[in-house]
Amino acid sequence: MDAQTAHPAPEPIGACRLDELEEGRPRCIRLPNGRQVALVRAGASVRAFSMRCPHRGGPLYKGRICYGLRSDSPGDMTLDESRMVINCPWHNWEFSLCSGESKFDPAKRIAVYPTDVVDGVVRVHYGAGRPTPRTPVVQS
Amino acid sequence: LPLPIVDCDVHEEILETDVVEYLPRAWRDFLGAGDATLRHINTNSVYPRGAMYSINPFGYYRKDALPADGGPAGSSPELMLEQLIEPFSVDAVILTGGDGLYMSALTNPYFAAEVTRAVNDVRKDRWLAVDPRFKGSISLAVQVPEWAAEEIRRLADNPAFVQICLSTNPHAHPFGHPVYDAIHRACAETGRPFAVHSLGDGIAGSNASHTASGNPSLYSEYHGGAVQGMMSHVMSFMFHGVFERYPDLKLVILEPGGVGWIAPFLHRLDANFKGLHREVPWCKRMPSDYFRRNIRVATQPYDHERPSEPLVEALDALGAEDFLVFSSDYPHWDTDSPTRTLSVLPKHWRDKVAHRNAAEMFSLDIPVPA
Repeated sequence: MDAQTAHPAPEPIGACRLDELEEGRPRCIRLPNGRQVALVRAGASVRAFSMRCPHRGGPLYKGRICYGLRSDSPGDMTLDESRMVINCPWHNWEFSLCSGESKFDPAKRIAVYPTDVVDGVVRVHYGAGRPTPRTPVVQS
Repeated sequence: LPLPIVDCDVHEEILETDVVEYLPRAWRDFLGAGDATLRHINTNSVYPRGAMYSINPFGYYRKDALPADGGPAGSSPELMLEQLIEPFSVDAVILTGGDGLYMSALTNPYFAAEVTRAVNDVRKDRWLAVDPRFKGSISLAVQVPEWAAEEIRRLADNPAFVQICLSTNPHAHPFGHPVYDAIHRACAETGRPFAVHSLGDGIAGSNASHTASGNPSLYSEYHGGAVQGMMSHVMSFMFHGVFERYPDLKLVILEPGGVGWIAPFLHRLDANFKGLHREVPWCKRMPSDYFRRNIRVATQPYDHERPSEPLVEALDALGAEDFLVFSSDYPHWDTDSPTRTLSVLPKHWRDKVAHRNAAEMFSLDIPVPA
Protein backbone atom coordinates (compact mmCIF):
# COMPACT_ATOMS: atom_id res chain seq x y z
CA MET A 1 0.00 0.00 0.00
CA ASP A 2 1.35 3.40 -0.89
CA ALA A 3 1.86 5.65 2.15
CA GLN A 4 0.82 8.69 0.14
CA THR A 5 -2.58 7.30 -0.73
CA ALA A 6 -3.27 5.13 2.29
CA HIS A 7 -6.30 5.86 4.44
CA PRO A 8 -6.00 3.41 7.31
CA ALA A 9 -8.78 3.17 9.83
CA PRO A 10 -8.25 5.65 12.66
CA GLU A 11 -8.65 3.09 15.44
CA PRO A 12 -5.88 3.25 18.03
CA ILE A 13 -3.17 0.65 17.63
CA GLY A 14 -1.23 -0.71 20.56
CA ALA A 15 2.47 0.04 20.09
CA CYS A 16 4.41 -0.87 23.24
CA ARG A 17 4.32 -0.50 26.98
CA LEU A 18 4.99 2.96 28.38
CA ASP A 19 7.78 1.68 30.58
CA GLU A 20 9.62 0.44 27.50
CA LEU A 21 10.19 4.04 26.43
CA GLU A 22 12.98 6.16 27.83
CA GLU A 23 12.25 9.78 28.67
CA GLY A 24 13.24 12.12 25.80
CA ARG A 25 14.85 9.35 23.76
CA PRO A 26 12.98 8.33 20.58
CA ARG A 27 12.55 4.74 19.51
CA CYS A 28 11.42 3.22 16.27
CA ILE A 29 8.45 0.89 16.81
CA ARG A 30 6.82 -1.40 14.26
CA LEU A 31 3.06 -1.34 14.71
CA PRO A 32 0.88 -4.42 14.27
CA ASN A 33 -0.27 -2.97 10.92
CA GLY A 34 3.30 -3.18 9.66
CA ARG A 35 3.98 0.55 9.77
CA GLN A 36 6.91 1.98 11.66
CA VAL A 37 6.68 5.12 13.77
CA ALA A 38 8.98 6.95 16.14
CA LEU A 39 7.79 7.21 19.73
CA VAL A 40 9.20 9.37 22.46
CA ARG A 41 8.10 9.63 26.05
CA ALA A 42 7.51 13.01 27.64
CA GLY A 43 6.53 12.33 31.23
CA ALA A 44 3.26 10.45 31.31
CA SER A 45 2.50 11.13 27.67
CA VAL A 46 4.00 9.93 24.42
CA ARG A 47 4.57 11.65 21.08
CA ALA A 48 4.38 9.61 17.90
CA PHE A 49 5.74 10.82 14.60
CA SER A 50 7.19 9.76 11.26
CA MET A 51 10.40 7.82 11.53
CA ARG A 52 11.85 9.34 8.34
CA CYS A 53 12.68 12.96 7.62
CA PRO A 54 10.93 14.40 4.55
CA HIS A 55 14.07 16.36 3.66
CA ARG A 56 16.53 13.60 2.80
CA GLY A 57 15.08 10.55 4.49
CA GLY A 58 17.17 10.73 7.66
CA PRO A 59 16.21 8.50 10.64
CA LEU A 60 14.22 10.89 12.82
CA TYR A 61 14.03 8.28 15.56
CA LYS A 62 17.76 8.77 16.08
CA GLY A 63 17.39 12.53 16.30
CA ARG A 64 17.48 14.87 19.26
CA ILE A 65 14.34 15.90 21.11
CA CYS A 66 14.54 19.43 22.40
CA TYR A 67 12.52 22.56 23.01
CA GLY A 68 12.06 25.27 20.45
CA LEU A 69 13.98 28.52 20.74
CA ARG A 70 12.67 32.02 21.08
CA SER A 71 14.70 35.14 20.38
CA ASP A 72 13.70 38.77 20.55
CA SER A 73 16.99 40.29 19.42
CA PRO A 74 20.46 39.29 18.20
CA GLY A 75 22.29 37.46 20.95
CA ASP A 76 19.12 36.64 22.87
CA MET A 77 17.82 33.06 23.04
CA THR A 78 15.36 31.39 25.38
CA LEU A 79 14.06 27.84 25.40
CA ASP A 80 10.37 27.69 24.52
CA GLU A 81 9.17 24.92 26.77
CA SER A 82 5.72 25.01 25.23
CA ARG A 83 7.09 23.74 21.93
CA MET A 84 8.79 20.36 21.59
CA VAL A 85 10.72 19.60 18.42
CA ILE A 86 12.70 16.81 16.83
CA ASN A 87 16.02 17.61 15.17
CA CYS A 88 16.92 15.22 12.40
CA PRO A 89 20.40 13.69 12.80
CA TRP A 90 21.05 14.40 9.13
CA HIS A 91 21.26 18.15 8.30
CA ASN A 92 19.55 19.24 11.56
CA TRP A 93 16.16 20.01 10.10
CA GLU A 94 13.69 20.65 12.90
CA PHE A 95 10.02 19.69 13.09
CA SER A 96 7.38 20.53 15.64
CA LEU A 97 6.06 17.50 17.49
CA CYS A 98 2.69 19.26 17.75
CA SER A 99 2.06 20.34 14.18
CA GLY A 100 4.71 18.36 12.31
CA GLU A 101 5.80 21.53 10.53
CA SER A 102 9.27 22.59 9.60
CA LYS A 103 9.86 26.15 10.76
CA PHE A 104 11.37 27.39 7.51
CA ASP A 105 9.80 25.17 4.91
CA PRO A 106 6.08 24.65 5.46
CA ALA A 107 5.99 22.41 2.41
CA LYS A 108 7.98 19.84 4.39
CA ARG A 109 6.28 18.31 7.39
CA ILE A 110 6.28 15.09 9.28
CA ALA A 111 3.24 13.12 10.30
CA VAL A 112 2.45 13.38 14.00
CA TYR A 113 -0.08 10.99 15.49
CA PRO A 114 -2.25 11.34 18.56
CA THR A 115 -1.47 8.83 21.28
CA ASP A 116 -2.92 7.72 24.54
CA VAL A 117 -1.85 5.38 27.28
CA VAL A 118 -4.35 2.79 28.46
CA ASP A 119 -3.42 0.33 31.18
CA GLY A 120 0.25 1.09 30.62
CA VAL A 121 0.00 0.44 26.89
CA VAL A 122 0.86 3.20 24.44
CA ARG A 123 -1.73 3.42 21.65
CA VAL A 124 -1.15 5.29 18.42
CA HIS A 125 -4.11 6.74 16.50
CA TYR A 126 -2.27 5.97 13.33
CA GLY A 127 -4.83 6.98 10.73
CA ALA A 128 -5.28 10.39 12.31
CA GLY A 129 -1.83 11.62 11.33
CA ARG A 130 -0.88 13.20 8.08
CA PRO A 131 1.36 10.76 6.18
CA THR A 132 4.82 11.82 5.23
CA PRO A 133 5.61 11.50 1.50
CA ARG A 134 7.45 8.24 1.02
CA THR A 135 9.91 9.69 -1.44
CA PRO A 136 11.45 12.87 -0.09
CA VAL A 137 11.24 15.81 -2.44
CA VAL A 138 14.35 17.95 -2.19
CA GLN A 139 13.68 21.59 -2.83
CA SER A 140 15.40 24.56 -1.25
CA LEU B 1 17.59 54.60 -23.72
CA PRO B 2 15.00 57.17 -22.68
CA LEU B 3 15.31 56.33 -18.99
CA PRO B 4 16.29 58.42 -16.00
CA ILE B 5 19.59 57.13 -14.63
CA VAL B 6 21.07 57.04 -11.15
CA ASP B 7 24.68 55.89 -11.18
CA CYS B 8 25.43 54.32 -7.79
CA ASP B 9 29.21 53.97 -7.92
CA VAL B 10 31.29 56.82 -9.26
CA HIS B 11 34.77 57.51 -7.94
CA GLU B 12 35.68 61.09 -7.38
CA GLU B 13 39.26 61.57 -6.26
CA ILE B 14 39.69 63.96 -3.37
CA LEU B 15 43.19 65.31 -3.66
CA GLU B 16 45.55 65.07 -0.75
CA THR B 17 46.46 68.70 -1.15
CA ASP B 18 42.80 69.62 -0.65
CA VAL B 19 42.48 67.37 2.37
CA VAL B 20 45.54 68.90 3.98
CA GLU B 21 44.10 72.36 3.43
CA TYR B 22 41.02 71.32 5.42
CA LEU B 23 42.93 69.75 8.33
CA PRO B 24 43.27 71.66 11.58
CA ARG B 25 46.63 73.43 11.77
CA ALA B 26 48.08 71.11 14.37
CA TRP B 27 47.43 68.11 12.17
CA ARG B 28 48.93 69.89 9.15
CA ASP B 29 51.97 70.45 11.28
CA PHE B 30 51.90 66.79 12.31
CA LEU B 31 52.16 65.95 8.63
CA GLY B 32 55.12 68.22 8.15
CA ALA B 33 52.94 70.50 6.10
CA GLY B 34 52.86 73.37 8.54
CA ASP B 35 54.80 75.61 6.19
CA ALA B 36 52.03 75.13 3.59
CA THR B 37 54.52 74.09 0.92
CA LEU B 38 53.20 70.53 1.25
CA ARG B 39 56.71 69.46 0.42
CA HIS B 40 56.60 66.43 2.64
CA ILE B 41 53.25 65.10 1.59
CA ASN B 42 54.70 62.35 -0.52
CA THR B 43 56.29 60.77 2.52
CA ASN B 44 53.76 61.76 5.17
CA SER B 45 50.51 61.06 3.41
CA VAL B 46 46.97 61.59 4.59
CA TYR B 47 45.98 58.34 2.91
CA PRO B 48 47.31 54.87 3.73
CA ARG B 49 50.29 54.10 1.54
CA GLY B 50 51.32 50.74 0.20
CA ALA B 51 47.62 49.93 0.05
CA MET B 52 47.74 48.30 -3.37
CA TYR B 53 49.98 45.29 -3.04
CA SER B 54 49.58 44.32 -6.67
CA ILE B 55 50.03 46.20 -9.89
CA ASN B 56 47.65 46.42 -12.80
CA PRO B 57 50.08 46.80 -15.73
CA PHE B 58 47.56 49.07 -17.47
CA GLY B 59 46.84 51.20 -14.42
CA TYR B 60 43.56 51.53 -12.58
CA TYR B 61 41.89 54.27 -14.60
CA ARG B 62 40.48 54.94 -18.05
CA LYS B 63 43.23 56.77 -19.90
CA ASP B 64 40.69 59.11 -21.46
CA ALA B 65 39.55 60.17 -18.00
CA LEU B 66 42.79 61.88 -17.02
CA PRO B 67 42.17 65.63 -16.65
CA ALA B 68 44.24 68.04 -18.70
CA ASP B 69 45.64 69.65 -15.54
CA GLY B 70 47.61 66.48 -14.81
CA GLY B 71 45.51 65.42 -11.81
CA PRO B 72 44.37 61.84 -11.30
CA ALA B 73 41.27 60.47 -13.01
CA GLY B 74 38.14 61.44 -11.11
CA SER B 75 39.63 64.62 -9.67
CA SER B 76 37.80 67.01 -12.01
CA PRO B 77 34.06 67.63 -11.50
CA GLU B 78 33.94 69.34 -14.90
CA LEU B 79 35.42 66.35 -16.73
CA MET B 80 33.01 64.00 -14.93
CA LEU B 81 30.10 66.14 -16.08
CA GLU B 82 31.48 66.15 -19.62
CA GLN B 83 32.25 62.42 -19.87
CA LEU B 84 29.54 60.77 -17.80
CA ILE B 85 26.69 62.99 -16.70
CA GLU B 86 25.95 65.07 -19.79
CA PRO B 87 26.40 62.51 -22.59
CA PHE B 88 24.33 59.85 -20.82
CA SER B 89 21.84 62.29 -19.26
CA VAL B 90 22.57 60.90 -15.82
CA ASP B 91 20.20 62.33 -13.23
CA ALA B 92 22.32 61.60 -10.16
CA VAL B 93 25.71 60.07 -9.44
CA ILE B 94 26.58 58.68 -6.03
CA LEU B 95 30.18 59.66 -5.32
CA THR B 96 31.89 56.91 -3.37
CA GLY B 97 35.45 58.25 -3.10
CA GLY B 98 38.86 57.10 -4.22
CA ASP B 99 41.72 56.81 -1.76
CA GLY B 100 39.26 58.00 0.88
CA LEU B 101 37.74 54.52 0.86
CA TYR B 102 40.75 53.16 2.72
CA MET B 103 41.04 55.52 5.70
CA SER B 104 40.15 52.73 8.09
CA ALA B 105 43.62 51.37 7.33
CA LEU B 106 45.39 54.36 8.88
CA THR B 107 47.12 53.15 12.00
CA ASN B 108 46.61 56.38 13.99
CA PRO B 109 42.88 56.53 14.90
CA TYR B 110 42.99 60.19 16.00
CA PHE B 111 44.58 61.26 12.73
CA ALA B 112 42.19 59.03 10.75
CA ALA B 113 39.18 60.74 12.34
CA GLU B 114 40.56 64.18 11.42
CA VAL B 115 41.33 63.13 7.84
CA THR B 116 37.83 61.71 7.53
CA ARG B 117 36.21 64.97 8.53
CA ALA B 118 38.43 66.84 6.09
CA VAL B 119 37.65 64.44 3.21
CA ASN B 120 33.91 64.79 3.78
CA ASP B 121 34.13 68.57 4.00
CA VAL B 122 36.13 68.76 0.77
CA ARG B 123 33.51 66.56 -0.89
CA LYS B 124 30.75 68.85 0.36
CA ASP B 125 32.41 72.07 -0.79
CA ARG B 126 34.13 71.02 -4.01
CA TRP B 127 31.75 68.43 -5.39
CA LEU B 128 28.28 68.50 -3.87
CA ALA B 129 28.12 72.29 -4.11
CA VAL B 130 29.15 72.25 -7.78
CA ASP B 131 26.13 70.46 -9.27
CA PRO B 132 22.96 69.05 -7.66
CA ARG B 133 23.41 65.84 -9.61
CA PHE B 134 26.43 65.02 -7.45
CA LYS B 135 25.34 63.08 -4.38
CA GLY B 136 27.88 62.15 -1.75
CA SER B 137 28.88 59.26 0.46
CA ILE B 138 29.97 59.92 4.00
CA SER B 139 33.46 58.45 4.12
CA LEU B 140 34.37 56.90 7.42
CA ALA B 141 37.37 55.71 9.38
CA VAL B 142 36.02 52.99 11.64
CA GLN B 143 38.98 52.29 13.88
CA VAL B 144 36.70 53.62 16.65
CA PRO B 145 33.13 52.90 15.50
CA GLU B 146 31.57 55.39 17.94
CA TRP B 147 33.62 58.19 16.38
CA ALA B 148 32.48 57.09 12.93
CA ALA B 149 28.88 57.26 14.15
CA GLU B 150 29.52 60.83 15.30
CA GLU B 151 30.75 61.71 11.82
CA ILE B 152 27.54 60.31 10.30
CA ARG B 153 25.43 62.44 12.64
CA ARG B 154 27.58 65.53 11.98
CA LEU B 155 26.63 65.38 8.29
CA ALA B 156 23.13 63.95 8.60
CA ASP B 157 21.39 67.28 8.08
CA ASN B 158 22.87 67.62 4.60
CA PRO B 159 20.58 65.70 2.21
CA ALA B 160 23.28 65.61 -0.47
CA PHE B 161 25.10 62.99 1.64
CA VAL B 162 22.92 60.03 0.80
CA GLN B 163 24.82 57.06 2.29
CA ILE B 164 27.93 56.02 4.18
CA CYS B 165 30.63 54.09 2.35
CA LEU B 166 33.29 51.77 3.69
CA SER B 167 35.80 49.46 2.12
CA THR B 168 38.50 48.56 4.62
CA ASN B 169 38.00 46.43 7.67
CA PRO B 170 40.19 47.27 10.69
CA HIS B 171 38.65 44.90 13.24
CA ALA B 172 39.17 41.49 11.62
CA HIS B 173 35.40 41.05 11.40
CA PRO B 174 33.12 41.65 8.42
CA PHE B 175 30.91 44.72 8.71
CA GLY B 176 27.82 43.05 10.17
CA HIS B 177 29.66 42.15 13.39
CA PRO B 178 28.28 43.90 16.49
CA VAL B 179 31.58 45.71 16.95
CA TYR B 180 30.18 48.01 14.24
CA ASP B 181 26.77 48.40 15.88
CA ALA B 182 27.24 52.11 16.57
CA ILE B 183 27.58 52.63 12.80
CA HIS B 184 24.60 50.42 11.97
CA ARG B 185 22.51 52.39 14.45
CA ALA B 186 23.65 55.77 13.16
CA CYS B 187 22.82 54.70 9.60
CA ALA B 188 19.38 53.50 10.64
CA GLU B 189 18.63 56.59 12.69
CA THR B 190 19.73 58.99 9.98
CA GLY B 191 18.18 57.01 7.11
CA ARG B 192 21.50 56.43 5.35
CA PRO B 193 22.24 53.12 3.59
CA PHE B 194 25.46 51.35 4.60
CA ALA B 195 27.50 50.88 1.42
CA VAL B 196 30.48 48.56 1.20
CA HIS B 197 32.85 48.86 -1.73
CA SER B 198 34.87 45.78 -2.56
CA LEU B 199 38.65 45.58 -2.86
CA GLY B 200 39.46 47.32 0.43
CA ASP B 201 39.60 44.14 2.49
CA GLY B 202 43.09 43.13 3.36
CA ILE B 203 44.93 46.20 2.17
CA ALA B 204 47.95 47.22 4.18
CA GLY B 205 46.83 48.46 7.60
CA SER B 206 43.64 46.43 7.55
CA ASN B 207 43.14 43.42 9.77
CA ALA B 208 41.41 41.19 7.24
CA SER B 209 42.75 39.21 4.33
CA HIS B 210 41.56 39.99 0.85
CA THR B 211 40.74 36.40 -0.03
CA ALA B 212 39.79 33.63 2.34
CA SER B 213 43.09 31.83 2.11
CA GLY B 214 45.34 34.86 2.34
CA ASN B 215 46.35 37.93 0.46
CA PRO B 216 46.90 37.65 -3.28
CA SER B 217 50.16 38.60 -4.94
CA LEU B 218 48.82 39.41 -8.41
CA TYR B 219 46.26 41.96 -9.54
CA SER B 220 44.31 39.27 -11.37
CA GLU B 221 43.85 37.45 -8.07
CA TYR B 222 43.06 40.66 -6.22
CA HIS B 223 40.46 41.90 -8.69
CA GLY B 224 38.96 38.51 -9.46
CA GLY B 225 38.66 37.73 -5.75
CA ALA B 226 36.61 40.82 -4.91
CA VAL B 227 33.52 38.69 -4.49
CA GLN B 228 34.91 36.87 -1.46
CA GLY B 229 34.87 39.91 0.77
CA MET B 230 31.40 40.85 -0.46
CA MET B 231 30.05 37.40 0.40
CA SER B 232 31.53 37.70 3.88
CA HIS B 233 29.96 41.10 4.52
CA VAL B 234 26.56 39.94 3.25
CA MET B 235 26.55 36.85 5.49
CA SER B 236 27.74 38.90 8.43
CA PHE B 237 24.86 41.38 8.14
CA MET B 238 22.30 38.60 7.78
CA PHE B 239 23.39 36.23 10.51
CA HIS B 240 24.36 38.79 13.13
CA GLY B 241 20.77 39.97 12.87
CA VAL B 242 21.54 43.51 11.73
CA PHE B 243 18.38 43.49 9.60
CA GLU B 244 16.31 42.32 12.56
CA ARG B 245 17.70 45.06 14.77
CA TYR B 246 17.30 47.69 12.03
CA PRO B 247 14.63 46.41 9.62
CA ASP B 248 14.74 49.47 7.36
CA LEU B 249 18.53 49.55 7.00
CA LYS B 250 19.87 48.94 3.51
CA LEU B 251 23.25 47.39 2.76
CA VAL B 252 24.59 48.39 -0.66
CA ILE B 253 27.35 46.30 -2.15
CA LEU B 254 29.45 48.11 -4.73
CA GLU B 255 31.62 46.53 -7.41
CA PRO B 256 30.78 43.16 -5.91
CA GLY B 257 32.74 41.00 -8.34
CA GLY B 258 29.89 40.74 -10.84
CA VAL B 259 26.35 39.67 -10.06
CA GLY B 260 26.30 36.14 -11.47
CA TRP B 261 27.32 34.62 -8.11
CA ILE B 262 24.26 35.82 -6.24
CA ALA B 263 21.72 33.10 -7.08
CA PRO B 264 23.92 30.06 -6.28
CA PHE B 265 25.24 31.79 -3.16
CA LEU B 266 21.75 32.46 -1.80
CA HIS B 267 20.63 28.96 -2.72
CA ARG B 268 23.45 27.62 -0.52
CA LEU B 269 22.67 29.96 2.37
CA ASP B 270 18.96 29.11 2.30
CA ALA B 271 19.67 25.38 2.22
CA ASN B 272 22.11 25.64 5.13
CA PHE B 273 19.91 27.90 7.19
CA LYS B 274 17.14 25.31 7.42
CA GLY B 275 19.47 23.14 9.47
CA LEU B 276 21.45 25.79 11.31
CA HIS B 277 18.87 28.33 12.44
CA ARG B 278 19.20 27.25 16.08
CA GLU B 279 22.56 29.01 16.08
CA VAL B 280 20.91 32.28 15.06
CA PRO B 281 17.30 32.10 16.29
CA TRP B 282 17.02 35.89 15.97
CA CYS B 283 17.00 35.46 12.18
CA LYS B 284 13.29 35.25 11.38
CA ARG B 285 13.61 35.17 7.60
CA MET B 286 15.41 33.10 5.03
CA PRO B 287 18.73 34.56 3.85
CA SER B 288 17.31 35.17 0.37
CA ASP B 289 14.41 37.10 1.94
CA TYR B 290 16.82 39.38 3.81
CA PHE B 291 18.77 39.83 0.59
CA ARG B 292 15.73 40.95 -1.38
CA ARG B 293 14.45 43.20 1.39
CA ASN B 294 17.60 44.81 2.74
CA ILE B 295 20.42 44.50 0.21
CA ARG B 296 20.99 46.41 -3.00
CA VAL B 297 23.64 45.39 -5.50
CA ALA B 298 25.46 47.70 -7.91
CA THR B 299 25.59 46.22 -11.39
CA GLN B 300 29.18 46.93 -12.43
CA PRO B 301 30.96 44.81 -13.55
CA TYR B 302 27.96 43.46 -15.48
CA ASP B 303 29.51 40.50 -17.30
CA HIS B 304 26.46 39.32 -19.24
CA GLU B 305 25.47 39.86 -22.85
CA ARG B 306 21.84 38.81 -23.01
CA PRO B 307 18.84 38.01 -20.80
CA SER B 308 18.76 34.40 -21.94
CA GLU B 309 22.05 33.53 -20.20
CA PRO B 310 21.45 30.96 -17.44
CA LEU B 311 22.97 33.15 -14.73
CA VAL B 312 20.70 36.04 -15.72
CA GLU B 313 17.67 33.76 -15.73
CA ALA B 314 18.62 32.58 -12.24
CA LEU B 315 18.81 36.21 -11.10
CA ASP B 316 15.46 36.88 -12.71
CA ALA B 317 13.92 34.01 -10.77
CA LEU B 318 15.22 35.63 -7.58
CA GLY B 319 13.56 38.94 -8.41
CA ALA B 320 16.78 40.80 -9.25
CA GLU B 321 14.93 43.75 -10.75
CA ASP B 322 14.13 44.73 -7.16
CA PHE B 323 17.67 44.59 -5.74
CA LEU B 324 19.99 45.64 -8.58
CA VAL B 325 20.97 49.29 -9.00
CA PHE B 326 22.90 50.61 -11.96
CA SER B 327 26.56 51.60 -11.53
CA SER B 328 29.29 52.58 -13.97
CA ASP B 329 32.41 52.62 -11.74
CA TYR B 330 33.59 55.68 -13.68
CA PRO B 331 36.52 56.45 -14.15
CA HIS B 332 38.07 53.05 -13.53
CA TRP B 333 39.56 50.90 -16.28
CA ASP B 334 36.67 48.42 -16.27
CA THR B 335 33.88 50.99 -16.35
CA ASP B 336 30.42 50.06 -17.67
CA SER B 337 28.59 52.59 -19.81
CA PRO B 338 24.96 53.23 -18.87
CA THR B 339 23.63 52.52 -22.36
CA ARG B 340 25.46 49.24 -22.71
CA THR B 341 24.48 47.83 -19.31
CA LEU B 342 20.87 48.94 -19.42
CA SER B 343 20.36 47.73 -22.97
CA VAL B 344 21.48 44.16 -22.21
CA LEU B 345 19.33 43.79 -19.09
CA PRO B 346 16.01 41.95 -19.37
CA LYS B 347 13.52 44.59 -20.47
CA HIS B 348 11.35 44.30 -17.39
CA TRP B 349 14.35 45.10 -15.15
CA ARG B 350 15.46 48.29 -16.85
CA ASP B 351 13.24 50.91 -15.29
CA LYS B 352 13.86 49.77 -11.71
CA VAL B 353 17.57 49.14 -12.17
CA ALA B 354 18.22 52.39 -14.04
CA HIS B 355 16.70 54.68 -11.44
CA ARG B 356 13.66 53.55 -9.44
CA ASN B 357 15.42 51.29 -6.92
CA ALA B 358 18.14 53.85 -6.22
CA ALA B 359 15.74 56.79 -6.09
CA GLU B 360 13.62 54.97 -3.53
CA MET B 361 16.62 53.92 -1.44
CA PHE B 362 18.20 57.39 -1.42
CA SER B 363 14.92 59.34 -1.35
CA LEU B 364 15.90 61.10 -4.58
CA ASP B 365 13.36 63.11 -6.50
CA ILE B 366 14.08 61.96 -10.04
CA PRO B 367 11.63 63.27 -12.66
CA VAL B 368 10.20 60.42 -14.69
CA PRO B 369 9.04 61.14 -18.25
CA ALA B 370 5.38 60.50 -18.88
